[in-house]
Amino acid sequence: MRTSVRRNAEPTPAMVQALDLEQHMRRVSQVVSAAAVVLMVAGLLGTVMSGAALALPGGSVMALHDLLRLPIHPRALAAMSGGILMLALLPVLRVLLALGIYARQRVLIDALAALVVLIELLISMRAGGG
Amino acid sequence: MLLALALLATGLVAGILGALLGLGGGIFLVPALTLIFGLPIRTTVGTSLVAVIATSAGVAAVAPAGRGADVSLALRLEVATAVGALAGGLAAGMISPQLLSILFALVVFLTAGYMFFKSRKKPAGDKPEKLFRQDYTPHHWPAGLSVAGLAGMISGLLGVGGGFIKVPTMYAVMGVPLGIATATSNFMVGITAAASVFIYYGRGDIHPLVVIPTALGVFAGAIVGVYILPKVRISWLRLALIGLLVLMGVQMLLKGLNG
Repeated sequence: MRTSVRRNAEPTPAMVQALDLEQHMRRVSQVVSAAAVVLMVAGLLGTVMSGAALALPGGSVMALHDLLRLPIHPRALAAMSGGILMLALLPVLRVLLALGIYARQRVLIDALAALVVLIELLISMRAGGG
Repeated sequence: MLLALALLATGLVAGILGALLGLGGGIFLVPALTLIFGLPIRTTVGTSLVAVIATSAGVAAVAPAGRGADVSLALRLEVATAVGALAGGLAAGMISPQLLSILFALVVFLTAGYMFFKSRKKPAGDKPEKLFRQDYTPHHWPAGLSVAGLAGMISGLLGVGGGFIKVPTMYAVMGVPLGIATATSNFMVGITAAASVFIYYGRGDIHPLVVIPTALGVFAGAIVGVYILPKVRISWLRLALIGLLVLMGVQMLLKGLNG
């Protein structure tokens, strides 16, 4: 068994497709991680500015289902939890992206591997209360 | 505010050391947060998992074109790794913090042993090895998948990326060039950490006031480490850090044994 994209030094169509996937993943990583960092820093600053006495480890994140009912929760905690959740979801997005691209390219074995990993991640989210 | 800065600094140092040694920051982060800040080990493991995802995302966002992971290889191995991570994440909630500390100490000792072995190994042949050559075919899949599953279990249980197991296996057993093995491992650790971080999230082991400054520190430290790597005499640093790892391992072992 071998991987489908890194076989020859010549720029084969498979290598071009691999670079295309790499570019898409880089863009998704840049956008999502920047948004997550902004949310987390804003929430952290909001908490610090509120003058609340801070002690470690502090409160826990908001439960996943509570994040959908934002208005009843403190905005700083919601921003921090949302930022962490967004960061945690980034690998799921990368797998989803790979699944879409491999399916479009008809690389069935890799599309199947991506699908199985995606299902495992969804099971993990379900086990975590999502 | 001072606590947040102290966590940021701790994450920064862990990120730099991890990048200099080619490891994730978790191997330094978990003992530092447990021993210096006195945080519960499950909180530190949850924090480390978020930091691992942040570092994996950060490196993916700045990696030069053509130096990225072999996504196909990563996803095939990840089928086993994610199962291990899921099992490890669930198991971490069932075993005592003392046992977790002892297991962590064992992994720290193994990492120190691996670093020591790596520091003594001389490169074979006269020609420098091509880190990113494209003409390879991964083989020995059963061994690769078994080790990937074990690495996932260790990651979910202890919050370390597991690159110290995956990279040598991909390189020495599966025949993947070292540069691609490292990039692929970095891609994989983000997914592996995600497979267990939701369990820690749902269990209430993720604390934003700890996670955010620490993860930002590790993320920045990993990038700083990559830039200063060519300017540092790595052989002496590696020996010093092996000593530090052994010291932290002993402390974690004592913490586990004494409760």
